[in-house]
Amino acid sequence: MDWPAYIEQTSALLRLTLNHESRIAVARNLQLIAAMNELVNDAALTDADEPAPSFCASPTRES
Amino acid sequence: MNAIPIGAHRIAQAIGRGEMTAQAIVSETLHQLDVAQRSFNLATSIFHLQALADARAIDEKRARGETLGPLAGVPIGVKDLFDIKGVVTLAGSRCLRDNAPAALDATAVEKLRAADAVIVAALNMDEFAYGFVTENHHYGATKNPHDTARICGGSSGGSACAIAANVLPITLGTDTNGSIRVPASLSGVFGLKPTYGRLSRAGAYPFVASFDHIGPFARTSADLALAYNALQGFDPRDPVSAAMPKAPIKCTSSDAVGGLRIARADGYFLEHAEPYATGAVNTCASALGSTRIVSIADAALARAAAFLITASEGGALHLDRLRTHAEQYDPATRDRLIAGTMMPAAWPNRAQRFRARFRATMAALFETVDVLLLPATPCVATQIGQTEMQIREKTVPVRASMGLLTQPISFIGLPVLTVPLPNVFDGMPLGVQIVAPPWREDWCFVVAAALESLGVARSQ
Repeated sequence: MDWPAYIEQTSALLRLTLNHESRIAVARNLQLIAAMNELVNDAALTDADEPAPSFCASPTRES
Repeated sequence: MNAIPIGAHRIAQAIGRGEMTAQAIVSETLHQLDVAQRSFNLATSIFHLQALADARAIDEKRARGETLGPLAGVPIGVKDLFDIKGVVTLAGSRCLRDNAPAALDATAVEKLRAADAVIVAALNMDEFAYGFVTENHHYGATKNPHDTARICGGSSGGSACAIAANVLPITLGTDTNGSIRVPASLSGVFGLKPTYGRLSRAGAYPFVASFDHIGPFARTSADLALAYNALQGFDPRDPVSAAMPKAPIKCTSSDAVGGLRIARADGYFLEHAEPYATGAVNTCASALGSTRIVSIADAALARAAAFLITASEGGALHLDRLRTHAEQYDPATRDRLIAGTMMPAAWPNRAQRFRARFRATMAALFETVDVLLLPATPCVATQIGQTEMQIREKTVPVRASMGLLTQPISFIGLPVLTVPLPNVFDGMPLGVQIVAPPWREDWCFVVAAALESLGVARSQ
């Protein structure tokens, strides 16, 4: 993975300004994120596995 | 003056009976806080004038013959991300210094005040709660009272330190990936992360909405219950506040522990903890007469998925400010947050899909077990400034790894009470997580009280 090129493109897309030291550190963090994603990729999910809920369409009341 | 009674229960009782005044308690506590601040750097603000005024109001309330609340005159500190009316909420950052003072108390602060507690300090933390060490770039490191060369843990490090130093009987923290349980373990005190949605987060500066929790610290499970009971209740100000009836812990008797099915976990929770940390769990299990061992499938994936969602939601939360005020962040925090903003959207989405799956896995496990015992941290407190540590002879980064054993649990919002075992290794304490199914905090308290009465768990 060419992390410097990826960071160059995404920082422009996100309108973020990064100095040299920051680019190096962000690349290190992205490598760690990518490694974590490889683990999650191992989960045997199906199309029926919906994301954990975080939104409720109706207001809740105290019971 | 007379010595302050030890513990919140006794303070409230002494004030209620007129044996001491709230002003005397708070005045002495403020003095002790000043001393502790010089030794441990545990607070970002100490509210000398307002705390004394609030204490005077409680004494006047008693003088009028009014009934006092369950936390009457109890001095309490809160992590410096809870809004306190009239105070700028810093969240451990420089970025928020110029904000207006909070117009309202956080719901948790409001509830503590309604119980007649006195808020005496805002407590140090990792910047924006993104860390496990409380080595704050702007406000300095909080030192462990048991060895000032060591960390207190984080991100609620000041909250754990104030309890460990015996300066405050109750403090408040927040826990997204372990930020109550890690400092409770490393500082040797009790900490509660209730079920996700149980306690209102309104007015607490957010980090990762999917996992953010609040909870108390204390020196005993009885004081922890006193705080927890005062904090409960549905809150329309918090979008994830659950419409659940209050479930106060009526007593912390250990009598009911015999009816609970208690187990330890092997696999991931053994492999990512030093032998003395798993030994602490074994000590608890043995004292409780539990021999059962279970396997938690996919715990490593749960931790990885929590990591991805944290990076994504945390980064997105800060994106606007990272464009305009990046220089105001701790560089380490800033670069983690920026990396989170750059992750492909499919990654945290898949992590959220796995989250629902893992919840089902754990629900099935809880059909056969009532309570799980797990180490809270892989090891005891590391040195301030230490960047790497050895876990089972493998070198891992301190900042990212102190939460290895807490992240899989908060990932699905289970209630956890961390009990401290004193002098586990090198003279330092270590915590054990008591994990229950959703909404069964009462089982956590039963087990904690049993371990206290058996002499296994106690604050160091």
